[in-house]
Amino acid sequence: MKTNFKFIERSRVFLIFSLVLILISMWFFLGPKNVNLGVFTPRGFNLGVDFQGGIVHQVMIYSGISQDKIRELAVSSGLGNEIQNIIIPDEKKIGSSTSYLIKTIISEQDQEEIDKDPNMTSLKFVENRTNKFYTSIYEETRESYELTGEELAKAIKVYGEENIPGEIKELRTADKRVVKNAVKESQNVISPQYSKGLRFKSVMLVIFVFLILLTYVAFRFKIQYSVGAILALVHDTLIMLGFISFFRLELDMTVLAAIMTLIGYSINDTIVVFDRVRENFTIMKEASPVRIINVSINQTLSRTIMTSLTTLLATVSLLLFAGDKIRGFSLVLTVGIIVGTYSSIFIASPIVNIWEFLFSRKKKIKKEKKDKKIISTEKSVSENKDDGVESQKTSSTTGGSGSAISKKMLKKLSGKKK
Amino acid sequence: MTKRTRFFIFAVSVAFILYFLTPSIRWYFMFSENDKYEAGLLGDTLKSEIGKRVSEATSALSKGEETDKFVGELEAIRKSFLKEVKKINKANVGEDPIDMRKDYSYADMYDILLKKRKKEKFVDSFFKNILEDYYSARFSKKRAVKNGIIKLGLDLQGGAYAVISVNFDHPSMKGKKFTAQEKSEMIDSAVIKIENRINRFGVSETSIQKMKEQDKILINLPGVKETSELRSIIETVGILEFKVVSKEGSEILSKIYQEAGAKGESIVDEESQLLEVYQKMLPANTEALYVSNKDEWGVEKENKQMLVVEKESLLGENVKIQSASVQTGNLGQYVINFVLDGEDAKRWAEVTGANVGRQIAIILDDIILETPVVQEKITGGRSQITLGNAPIEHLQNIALILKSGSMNVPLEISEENSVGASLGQDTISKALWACLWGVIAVFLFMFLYYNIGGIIADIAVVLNIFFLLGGLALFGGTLTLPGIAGIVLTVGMAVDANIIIFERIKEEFRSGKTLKTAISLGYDRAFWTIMDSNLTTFAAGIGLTLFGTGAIKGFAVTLCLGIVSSLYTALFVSKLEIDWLMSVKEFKSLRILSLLRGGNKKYEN
Repeated sequence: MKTNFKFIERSRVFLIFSLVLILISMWFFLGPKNVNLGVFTPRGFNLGVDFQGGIVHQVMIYSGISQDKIRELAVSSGLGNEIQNIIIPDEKKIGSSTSYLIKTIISEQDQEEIDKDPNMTSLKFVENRTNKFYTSIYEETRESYELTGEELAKAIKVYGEENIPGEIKELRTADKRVVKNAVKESQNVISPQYSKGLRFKSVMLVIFVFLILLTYVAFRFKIQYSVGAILALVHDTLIMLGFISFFRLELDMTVLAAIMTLIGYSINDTIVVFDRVRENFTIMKEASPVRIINVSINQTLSRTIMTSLTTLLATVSLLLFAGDKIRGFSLVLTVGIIVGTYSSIFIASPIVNIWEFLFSRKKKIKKEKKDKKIISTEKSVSENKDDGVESQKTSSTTGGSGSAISKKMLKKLSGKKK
Repeated sequence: MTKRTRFFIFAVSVAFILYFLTPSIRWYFMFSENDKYEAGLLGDTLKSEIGKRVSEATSALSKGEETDKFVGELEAIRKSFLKEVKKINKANVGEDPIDMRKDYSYADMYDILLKKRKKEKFVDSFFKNILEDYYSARFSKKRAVKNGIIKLGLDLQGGAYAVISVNFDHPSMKGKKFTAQEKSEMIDSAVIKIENRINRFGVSETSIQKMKEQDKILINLPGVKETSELRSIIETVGILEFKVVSKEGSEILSKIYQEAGAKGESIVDEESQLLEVYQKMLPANTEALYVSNKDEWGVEKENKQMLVVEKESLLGENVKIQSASVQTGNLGQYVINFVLDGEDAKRWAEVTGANVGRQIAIILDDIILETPVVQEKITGGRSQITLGNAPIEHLQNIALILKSGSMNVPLEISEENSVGASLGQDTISKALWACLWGVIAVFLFMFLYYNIGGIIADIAVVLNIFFLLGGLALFGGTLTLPGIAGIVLTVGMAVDANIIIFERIKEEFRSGKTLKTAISLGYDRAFWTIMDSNLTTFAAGIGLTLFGTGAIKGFAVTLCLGIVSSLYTALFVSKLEIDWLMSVKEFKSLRILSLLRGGNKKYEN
């Protein structure tokens, strides 16, 4: 695959597009929530309990309750109305059982109430509420449920002889098992103080990683590359936060891990391009930065796309097969890889170019004068590289169509040289 | 480096990783439920299980039944028996020597020994000891396997974890200021107290550790469903007591223990309490308590002994110790000095005066920590404990407990998470399927695009997963759900280095070089690109490992290991593969790197 797109010449379009996208993203998670603009209403973040404090628990109810009823009971016990029906595949479902995920955040009001009572901790507080919730389910339906026949056989198959959820073992007989009608399958409780610390830590973590990367790239390359790379990363992060905010995805530790991965992934992509730019700067001394950067992006383009495709194959398989628990994680990864690939092609290098244009032009001109003598000797060494430059020159003179130079033309050119 | 050296290095690295992966492979793929059960045995259950097995084996072997089930047992017995026979033959030179046959049956051996040793009791215990050693060796071998496996995180195997911190908002703490040192000590003493209490429940894989922030404790309770028990543990304050050891009672207890042991019975009930029957045999007003028995790592050992102490607490339950510290004694050894004040000091003088020459047990939450002997009456409240040559850490722990034993540090759970085992199972199978599909998709894609090169990259992917898992086993890592996601992602990114190289080779080839030169140039020029791009990602990963917690950390560790292994596989292994390939068959065209004809042609002629 040999391409010759004019990325730099067109960079203004992409930079403006990205800027608009970033502004829209920031509007979604930073804008005032009381403005009503339909789809464009700012929505902030749907923070997970990790970052907000509260309780998430999954409850399985063997029989006799509708989702609306569950919601009603949860609200009346003070657990809020964030209830999600978990779809259990038929081969795992016992009779008419249903599972729900209930997320309760400790509000500021709750916190005040907790603070009033010296013996009350936030954990006890939510625990009390969940207990109330379970009692009300029992009142509404019944306390226990009997598993017999087919249902029992299935329960044993799915959970194992000894692990049937909520079993009251004292009441076991040969052909009957008694279980509690509502069973807590999992729970996650986080105190607000702790989550506050976690929130702070996470922000620090992102900043810290950015600083490490900034230093490393500045050390291995030059400051303009470092700035280009970091701005591309900030671009990715902001757009992904906008995406998360727009679709109301839950922002928790796992999603944060996904964002951090994207940072790592995107910088990886960017560095590969930069590395080529750096290499070409030493080989194509007489060419302008615009041309050098363009050639470099084109030379690495097939690699960038190939890697993105293989990584996407992996993340899409996570998205499709890994289940609800990491759906948010894999979705953020999948979209993020597209954004990250885009930014390392269309954003990072143009920024380097702009920097070169603004700060290094004078130096460059001076340097070029000096280097002219050396070039003639260099030329023979890097003949193959000059091919690229030659063809580029021709293409820009033959017509600024901006499309890839035809293979024929290239062939001709190389043929001629030989 | 020649190809041979490189292949040798590669083989060594595979062997190295395989060594660390073996326990995990055995555990997850070859161990039966019974094996896993045997590996998990600890403490009293271990003891009673050994007893049970010994009596089972003895009765079966003596009757000559099911001998194929007890082959290993019989083998062990024969070995020791022959050793014994050698000794007997040597001792009785004049008499007819006993045959050194290797196919004695159990009954034969029993008879021969009985003839020589006369007493049935001796012969019985001879065989019993052999079997006991045999089983305990067998179980501990399995336990060693268990210790070396890649553990599954709580989200995958079910269980609970909790993060515990000191509750500074508690009424008893409000308005007080603590130095960092004091805070750290509070956490230390809390760790000791919680360990002390939790270990009693016999949850074998519990881990209690101080977190990096130094003011939090992380407790992992795999397999535990309900955390309410944990809460009661945390909310109860540790009770420090001093009690006199009853010599008479302890002797009775050890006799009881020996007799029960001979019968293969356990003297404790399911909750590790002394059985009622035996309780009655002890002197009045005494009780049997466990003695803490930690190994050099500070982990509670499985065989705990019991000691009998008088029920009366010498200084009451609310003893206040002014200070306790580890110092160097007169003879250069480490000693613990502790100071009692006021009423306590007076009581202490009386108590020590009355019990000179006897042992006094230091007890935390009904577990005996130490039993120093009273040398003299201690007046003025200043006491010194000498503990022979115990390690200083142990002494420091005791001092810490003495100092903080009575200090009430209010703790709270700041994060708690429990996952049902069935949910965990479901998650594993889903994640593994996702992993599999991801790998298959990448495999096909790479093959379709790069032909032979694709296969080389695919081998790299497989090796990558192999090295990554090996690395996890090596560093004692835990596999969590985000961790599996990290592996899937690594699969996608692992081929990246190969892609960079292949694309570079193609480029060099197209510019008119021979394939051979193009390949070697491709590798050389891609080297720093790959290093730089991966090291940046690695830097981000290290940041996450250092500062992330829980989900993030598990994920970051696999990501970092993945990067290291993908660097190795791409720059070293796949180079070796391609060099080997080139030496086997002289490839001239890019066919080796491209299945579609489009990219094959050279641009010149």
